[in-house]
This record gives sequence, structure tokens and C-alpha cells, in this order.
Amino acid sequence: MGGTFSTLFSKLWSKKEVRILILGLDNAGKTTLLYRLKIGEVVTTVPTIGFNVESVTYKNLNFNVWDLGGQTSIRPYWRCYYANTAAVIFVIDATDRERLETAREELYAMLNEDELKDAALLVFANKQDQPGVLGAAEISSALGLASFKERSWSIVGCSAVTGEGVSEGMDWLVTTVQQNETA
Amino acid sequence: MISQEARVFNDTPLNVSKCRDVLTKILHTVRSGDHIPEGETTDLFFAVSKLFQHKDPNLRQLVHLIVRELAGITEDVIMITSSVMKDTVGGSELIFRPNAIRNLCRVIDLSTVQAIERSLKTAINDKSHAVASAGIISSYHLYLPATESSRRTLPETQDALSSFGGSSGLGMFGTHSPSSMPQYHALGLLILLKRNDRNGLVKLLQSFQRADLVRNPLGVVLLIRLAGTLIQTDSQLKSPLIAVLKGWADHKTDMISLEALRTLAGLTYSNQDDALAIIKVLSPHLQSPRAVVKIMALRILKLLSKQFPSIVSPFNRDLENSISLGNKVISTLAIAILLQTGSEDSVERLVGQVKTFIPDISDEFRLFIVASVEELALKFPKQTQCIINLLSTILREEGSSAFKERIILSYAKLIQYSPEFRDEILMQLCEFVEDCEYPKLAILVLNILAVESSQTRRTGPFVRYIYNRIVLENSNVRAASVAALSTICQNGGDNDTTFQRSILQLLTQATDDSDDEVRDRAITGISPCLGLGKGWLTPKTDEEFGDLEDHLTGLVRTDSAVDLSDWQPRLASSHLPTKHLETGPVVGTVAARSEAFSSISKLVPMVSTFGRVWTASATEHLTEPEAEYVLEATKYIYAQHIVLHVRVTNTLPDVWLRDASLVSVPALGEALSDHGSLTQVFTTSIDVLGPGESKDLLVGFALEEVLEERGKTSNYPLCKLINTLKFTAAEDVNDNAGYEDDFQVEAVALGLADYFVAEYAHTESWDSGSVSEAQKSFKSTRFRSISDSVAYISSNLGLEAQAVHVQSNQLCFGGKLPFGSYIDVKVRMAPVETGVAFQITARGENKHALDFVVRGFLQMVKW
Repeated sequence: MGGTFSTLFSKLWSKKEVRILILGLDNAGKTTLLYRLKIGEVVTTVPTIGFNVESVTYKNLNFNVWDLGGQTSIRPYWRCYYANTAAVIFVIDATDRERLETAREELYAMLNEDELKDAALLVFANKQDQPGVLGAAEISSALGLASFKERSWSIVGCSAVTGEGVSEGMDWLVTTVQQNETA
Repeated sequence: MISQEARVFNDTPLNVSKCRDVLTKILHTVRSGDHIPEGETTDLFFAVSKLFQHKDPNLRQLVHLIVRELAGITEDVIMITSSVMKDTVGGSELIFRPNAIRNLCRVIDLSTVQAIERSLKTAINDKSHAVASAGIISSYHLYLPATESSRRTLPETQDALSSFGGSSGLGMFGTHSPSSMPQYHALGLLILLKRNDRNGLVKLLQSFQRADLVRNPLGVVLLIRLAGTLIQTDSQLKSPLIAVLKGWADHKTDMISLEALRTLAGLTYSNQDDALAIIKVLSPHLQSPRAVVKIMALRILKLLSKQFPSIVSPFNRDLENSISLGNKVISTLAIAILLQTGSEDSVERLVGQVKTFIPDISDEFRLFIVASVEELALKFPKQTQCIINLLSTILREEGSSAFKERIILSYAKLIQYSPEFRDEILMQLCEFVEDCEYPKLAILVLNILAVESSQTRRTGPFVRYIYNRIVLENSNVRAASVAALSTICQNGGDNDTTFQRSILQLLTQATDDSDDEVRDRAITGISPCLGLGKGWLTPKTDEEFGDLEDHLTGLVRTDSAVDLSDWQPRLASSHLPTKHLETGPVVGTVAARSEAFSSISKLVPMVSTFGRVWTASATEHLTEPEAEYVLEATKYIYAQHIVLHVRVTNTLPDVWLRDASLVSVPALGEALSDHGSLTQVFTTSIDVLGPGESKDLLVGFALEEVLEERGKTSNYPLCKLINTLKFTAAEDVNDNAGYEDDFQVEAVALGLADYFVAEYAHTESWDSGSVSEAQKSFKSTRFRSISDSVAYISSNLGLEAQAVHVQSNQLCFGGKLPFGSYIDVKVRMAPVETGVAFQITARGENKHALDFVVRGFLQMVKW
């Protein structure tokens, strides 16, 4: 029985768009990541005042990806875009040790919101191509991700510029979102 | 409601056509002025912002249109900055690109404005007219918040102005292709950017005054308006620019021609020939079958007819035909012109036309007509009967309260100017109040009846109408009726005790009323009539109210029993002349001013011997409001004395003024001045004026009395008083040393307006019984036109606008000086090359007073 339904769902699923948010502090690499996913290339970006939104197809799945600006003035508005979100991609600038604590606070504040209680969480420890960068494990312990018991989450080291690690993270996301939906 | 429908914006996937339906609904709601609650706008804005995810161009254009409306009412627009900026780039085939460019200036804040300058410049240089226009408009709207950014688009705007002026197939006859629109927008922006640079504006106008360079008619209209303002600021430009305007007046496009004619008609003219030239070009427009053209032409005609009533007469027949054309605006304008220029013998006919016309038009136009009719009645007093008949007819028409109120107020004015019609008018008002659906108007009428009816031959009939209100109406009207009855009882009942007793009977009945306000008024109305504390319940002037309040406050403070037996109005004799309050506009708050004056003038016993205050001037500042010591002066004119009342405020935080006094001396050697026989009789001083304190100073002058064959008058000065505040400044309240100091302040001028109290002149008094006459002719360059000078004289002397007889460019008024009888004045004016020529004639009994009025008038106009 379950198998039949799962096939049925996956057929319906392929037509529906999955809503994803990319969040994180300013200069974390969110917009670069978005366009890496969309066109597979590196684009020149300016600080996002507001948001960018693109439709991205990955592994036969249609994503509606929202990249919200990370500046202090924009962060209060994130919550206006939480509704119907299947997953959040939280991008960390892994070279910016000083603001790791700020990033942690923003992450916890966001996950506390009711509208995101079922959303999956993928953390990208970005800028792995840079020297002196922190690894995924170090970021994970700094953020205290192990304490999330109820939520599907994962952390992947990546570089939006070189593309390294991005598909690894996205593969996890695709699987998790599909499981969540059929569960 | 809207928020609920806006939920479809959150659906995945989006249903585009449904979203567009909802967006259209929202747009309609916002544009039709419906208010969306504040909380909802934020939700709505974020819901709309989510639609940027969809690529459909038509949907996106609608989103931009909504953003345009919402940007002004929500502060969260920053969230879509990036999305809007992204939409401003890309090919001109994108239909929403101009919309996005126009929104740029709305989503930007000062910290991000530089980021869009490049986008604006690119847009303005775009080949597409829609994109270029959008860029210019965005820059225009940036002018106020970010002037510099707007200014940096100037070169691009100038390019756009010339590049869109090409011969790209533009219609000549009022139709204009949208491809020339950037010219209009560019001209608007350039005029805005150069608004502080007059030479730049002149150059701009000169380089585009050849009609074919600017193809867009709206653009030409802008240039015409620019020419109009430039002519007014620089007389040297006058003749070349008038020539240019005349060229445009002949333009084949109605819009351009009419705008040029309107500008020309608004300018100063030295003779009728120019006006006739305008009329010549205007007359085809007056015949135009297009209503909008005809309306504009009529407006211009109305403007001209004010100055040159005679040139309208060839059109009288046309105008009369226009009344019945069916277009309300045209009919109203036509009748207004006819009323304005009509002669005495045409009044009756015009009134007949108004009668048939009034029922068909809306209230807005009716108010306009009633105002014109009232003006007519004051201009031709002999036609008052006819006008009263008209007013009574239209008062019976169905109409709004505003319309009826206007008529009642016109009646009230007519009673003042033509007292012989008082009985008839009051009777009509009584009939009106019998069947009046508006309580507010019933109260207004009752108040008029209360004041006016006691001056009629028989008050009885009016009392009957008033009493009917007590029986029939709601409590507001009943209260007003009771108040009216008690006023009548006090005013008119003194001579006739039977009558008074009857009214008291009625008032006594009203003490059983169900409403407590009505009962209270009835009781307060009865008590003075029975001789209980008569006098104190009806203070004669505002200052007595203030006095009474002071007295009561004192009693409350000292916790004494309320006992009014020892209270006496302090300045019972010195209230302002009532004539002044009725005819001239009262400047400033008389009550506040005279209250301060009455309390300080008590300190100088001499003032009480001066008699009645004839006039009190408006308070004028003798210093800048931010000066160290702020001085304000008010002039009080008595029959033989002048008192200058100055309030001194010490704004310094750490300086004490001791022994402050005002030295006020007439200025010597001023042209046209005459300081008569001004002798200072007293001056007061301030012992100590601490930081932040305000205290008063008085300086009194006596005038020489002049005896004439037929009366007496005073030698009133026409001069400036130079004022200096003398004091010893100390840095401590106990510091006895200090240093002496002078503080020079502005002079106070004494002129005709200070002595002369104007009344409306009836033309018939001119030839009857006046014995002496004084006359003088002179020119003045300070006025550009007769209407300017009429406005100046009227506002200075507090004349009613209706006193002006425009036909003969004549100003007729009359009035009194503190001494002597009524003085009739006629001022004839004629436009001359450099300004206006005046001839003033004054008639009256006292030769000295007449000479004074003539001299004072000359000085008033020349100074």
C-alpha cells in the first residue's frame, strides 16, 4: 500500500514547486549560491536589499528558491516569508569566526517560529575554498546543531564559488523533503 | 476583505489569472480612495511582494502598479528594492519596465539613492519614449528627497528634450502622439531643476520658444506658464515675452491657444486695446462646440470682464443663450459674467433668468450664484427689492443646508446695508423657519431675529413665530428660541411693560421644559428682566467676560463665597466701537488684546479720562521674534489721544532689566509725513524684568483739538514713531550696578487706516447735503493694476469688496473719524504707463477732516 501511494505522490510532486528559503548573515554567499543552483555559474553580486526569487529544477524536482537579504535592516522581514516553507538553507560564512555567535542567534530565533516547525534545515558552511576556514564539524558544534532532536537537519561544507559540496547538500535536501512529504 | 482574497498570492503554484483579478480589485479599492486599515496594508504588501516570483509580464506590470500605490502607505518597501531594480534593466520590449522605473523613486531611501542614479540616466537616454518618460518622472519625484541625485540627471534630460522633438509624425490639431511625451516631462523636470536660476529659465524659454521645437502641446503649455511667471518677476522681459505669447495665442491647438490667452489676460494692461486683441482671438473659442474649450474661454472672458466690463457687451446675447445650453458649468459661468458686468437696468432681467435656472443646477453652482447676486444687491441698492424677491424664491427651493445658510447670511448682510428692508426680510426668515428641516439653520435664523427684531416697528409678530418654535421643535431649537425671547425682552421690553410681561409669561412656561438646557436658559432669561442682578448677566463686550472670569477665579482661589454684588466691569465705557465690528474685518483677537490693555491702563488714571477707544490696531512686532528682547505694539486711538501699548519680553536667560521704559518720538523729515501736534503726556516704566518675563509699557500722546465752523476734530498725525527701549541691564536681580543700554526697535506708523472706520456708502448720499469737498490727483507706481490697488486699499481700510464699482473703476466708500460726521469718499483709478493714477474726492461737513482723509489716503498709497 505505502509503496503505491509513494509512487502516486512522487508523480504529483514533480509538478508542484517546493518552497525553499536561503537565509544567513550578510556577505555569507546566499545570492552566489542561488545563482550557482539556477545557472551553475558564478555571478557578480551586490548586497541584496530585499530578496531574489528564482525557480530552480534539481533532480527532476521544482524548487521555488527565495534568497532573502542578510543585512541587519532586512532580517526583521524574514518572518514575512516563512509560510509554506519546506526547507531552510542556512548559509554560514565559515571564515567569519567573529560573527558566528550572531549567526547562531539568528538561526535559533528563526527555528523558534511556529511556521517553520516542520521545515528541514540544511546548513552550508560556505567558503571552504578560502584559507583558514572552519570545517563543517567545527561549525556544527559552534552552532549546537546536535541539540535539534525533532528536526531533520544536516550540515555540509561547501564553496558556492567552486561548486564543491553544493550537490552533496542538495541531494540530502531532495531526499529529506520527499520523505517529509510522504511521511 | 481584501486581505482574505489576497491569500491566493500565497498559493503554490500561483494561479496567474486569479491573482490578476484580485490585484485589479485592490487597485480599484485604493484608487477610489477607500481606506485600507494599517495592519492590513503591511500584510497585503508582503503578499504582493511574493508575486515577484512569477515571470508573467502582465502580472508583473500589475504588481508594479500596486507597489506604486502601496509605497506611500507602508514603510516596508525596502524589501522589494532589489526586485524593482532588477526590473528596470532589460530590453524595452518588457512591458513592465517603465512601471518599474517609475517605482524606483518610491522604493529608494536616502542611503541607497546613489545606486539608482545610473539606472535613471540609462532610462532617460533610452530610445523608447515610455522608458525615457519613466526615467524623467522618477528623477522629478526624487527632487524633494534627494535634490542632488535629481540634479545629476540634468544633461540626460536636456538630451531627451531635443531628441524627442524630432518630426516623428505629430498631429497639429490637438491630437498628440505619445512619442513626444518625454518632451513634456523633460521640460517639467528642467523647470523644476532650474527654479532658482532665473537666467537658466530665461535661456530655456528662449531656446524653445519657436513653436516647432517643442512638439508636445502639454510641453508648450508648460513654457507658456513659465513665460507668465517670468513676466511677473522681470519687467524687462515683458514686451519680448508678450510677443511670444501672442504667437502662441494664434496656435491651431486649442490647448496652447487658450493657455496663452489666459496668461495674457492675467497680465497688466495699460489700455483696452490689448484686451480687445485678446477678445478677438478668444471669440472663435467662445463659439466652440467642445464644452471644455468653451468653458475655458468663458473663464478667460470672466477674468477680462473684471477689469474691462464694457468689452463683454458684444457677447451678452451669446452669454444669455449659453445659459440655456444645458451644460451647468457653462450656464453658471455665463450668468456669473452677466451678473458681474450687468448694469442697473438689466438687473431685473438677470434676476428672472436666475430664477428659472437655479432649480436645475447643483449646490456647488448655486452657492456661486448666490454670492454674485448678493454682490449685485450691494452694488445697486435701488434693486434690493428685486433681489430680496429672488432670494425668497430660491430659499423655498429644495436645497442643502449650505445653500440655504448662504442665502440666510446674504439676508443678514442686506439688513445691515439696507435697513429699510429689515421688516420684510425678517418676515421672510420667519416663514422659512416655520418649515425648516435643518435645526442648525433654524438656530441661525432665531439668532438673527433676536438681534434684529427689536429694531423693527412691531416686535410682536416675530415673537409669535419664535414662540411657535418652543412648542414644535427639538431641544436645540427650543433653547435658541428661549434665548431669542430673553434677548428681545431685554432689548425691546423696557418701554412697554405689558409686552415685557407677556414675554416673561412665555419664558416662565419654558421653565417647565423637559430639557434642562432650555429650562436653564429660560431662568437666566427671566432673572434680569425681573431686575435681579440686571447687567452682569449680559456683559456688553468680550473684555467684560474676561473680567468676570478673573473675578470668579479670584473668588475660587481665596475660597470666598460667590458674591457678585461688588463686581463692576472695569472698562464699561471703553469697548470698541460696534460699527467697527460690523463692517470691517476684525484683525487679531480683540478680546485678548484689550484684556491686557485694560488691566495695565488702570495703572495710569489719566487713560480713563480719554473717553472711548475709537480703534485698536492689530498687534505688530517691533523686533524679530528671535531677538534678545521681543517687543510687540498695539495702537489705541482716542478722540484726542493716542496710546501706544508695548509688551516687552526678555528672552535672555541671565539678564535682568531694571527701569525699562520706551522712548517714542516722531520721525522727522520723512516724505509725506506730518506729525501734527503730538505731545507726549505720560509714559510708564517697568521696575524689574526678569529672564523669560513679559511686561507691558504704555506711552500716551495728546493731540491738538481743531475747531471748525461745523464741528471739531483733532490734528491727527500721519507719521512714524521711532522707538527705543531704554533700560539698565544687570546680571543679577540684586545687582545694583549694571549698565545702561538702548535697544532700537522698529518704528510704528500712524496712518489713515488707524483713524478711519469705514462704512458702506450708498451712492445717493453723495449728492445730498454735503457741504465741503477736498480733492487730489496723483500717480503711484507701486501697483501693477487697478485690481491690485483696490485690494490694497480695501484690506488697509477694511472695506467690503462690494463697495467697488468696477464699471467706472471707481471705489466708493465712507466712514468716520473719531470726531465729526460721516465722510463720503470716491476714488477714481485709471491705469497709466507706469502704474495707476488716482483721484480721490472726499465730501463731508468738516473741511479739516476732509483734508486729513485726502492727505492720509495719499500717504497710505505712496508709502
